[in-house]
Amino acid sequence: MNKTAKNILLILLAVVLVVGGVFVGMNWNHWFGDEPADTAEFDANAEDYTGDRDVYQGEKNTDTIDIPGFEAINLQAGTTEQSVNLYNPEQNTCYFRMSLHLADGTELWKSGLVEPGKAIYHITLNQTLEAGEYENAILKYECFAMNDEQTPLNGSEIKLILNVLE
Amino acid sequence: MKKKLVAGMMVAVMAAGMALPVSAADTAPTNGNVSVAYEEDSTFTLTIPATVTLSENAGATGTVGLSAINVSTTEKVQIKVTGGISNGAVTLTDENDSSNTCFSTVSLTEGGEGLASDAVIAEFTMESNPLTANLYFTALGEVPAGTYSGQMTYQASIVSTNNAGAATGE
Repeated sequence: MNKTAKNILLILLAVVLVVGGVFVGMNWNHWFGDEPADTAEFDANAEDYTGDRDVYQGEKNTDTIDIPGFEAINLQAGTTEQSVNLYNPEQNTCYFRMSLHLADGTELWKSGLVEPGKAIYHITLNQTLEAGEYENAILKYECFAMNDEQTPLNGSEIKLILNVLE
Repeated sequence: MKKKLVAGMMVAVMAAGMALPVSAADTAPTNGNVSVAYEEDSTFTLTIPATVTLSENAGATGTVGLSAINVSTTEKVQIKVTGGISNGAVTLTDENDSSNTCFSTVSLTEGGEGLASDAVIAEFTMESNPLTANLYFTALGEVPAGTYSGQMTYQASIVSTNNAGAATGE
């Protein structure tokens, strides 16, 4: 074998050794390293989050009414279509009719009857609002017995802040 | 000698190749700060009597309170009666004859003075226990036959603990 051929062979051998070394180095941990940590599986029961839902609260209320109260409700400026989280607790035994009012008494929205365990996640306001804080707004709950006459019961108002955001 | 030299060089080249990916994996440690934040909204559940059954001869009691409260340490839940009270009394109207009415004085203590409209009847903080307050209704006295009813509206709001009010909730 002549000298040129020997040199080419040596270069090829060097390349093979470098590539082989890199390959061994990259897989060293995989071949000889610690056992990989167990990974968790996805829960098949999980679904898209659509807001708070009622959970079991114990026995039904027979002579009292539970009224959800909030410090503030966030709304979007410039649109009548709003996302909210208003509900009639499952333990109640009365219908709710909910309405939202500004401090000056302007009615922004009113619902129909809402059964216990039901929620309203989307409302359409009677008017759009500019961005800002609207203090002393009222979330009004009118309560009705679950009979044919829908007898009016005691009601409630929650005084809160409407945070209207851009 | 020459062969040993070449063999040594080959070993060195292979060792260098194995070290390259390890070196590539090395990173100099760095420090950084990450801000973490969370805001929990204040909420509560107001519990009111659905109805209070009154009688001609005896007074009655209704209980108002909170079945859940989660407010900051500088806040309290304030409860008022904002509807159905006039001159310290609740008016009940006969459903078959609106001209037939009867009255029951509502007070914070048994036999006490009637509530003023918009008066604070209870306040509760996170430390309050119990989270209830009683309202006392006087007997109706003699009333014509009929089916009478009236509604009261209870208003609740979250206010600063500096906000003055009748702290009847313990």
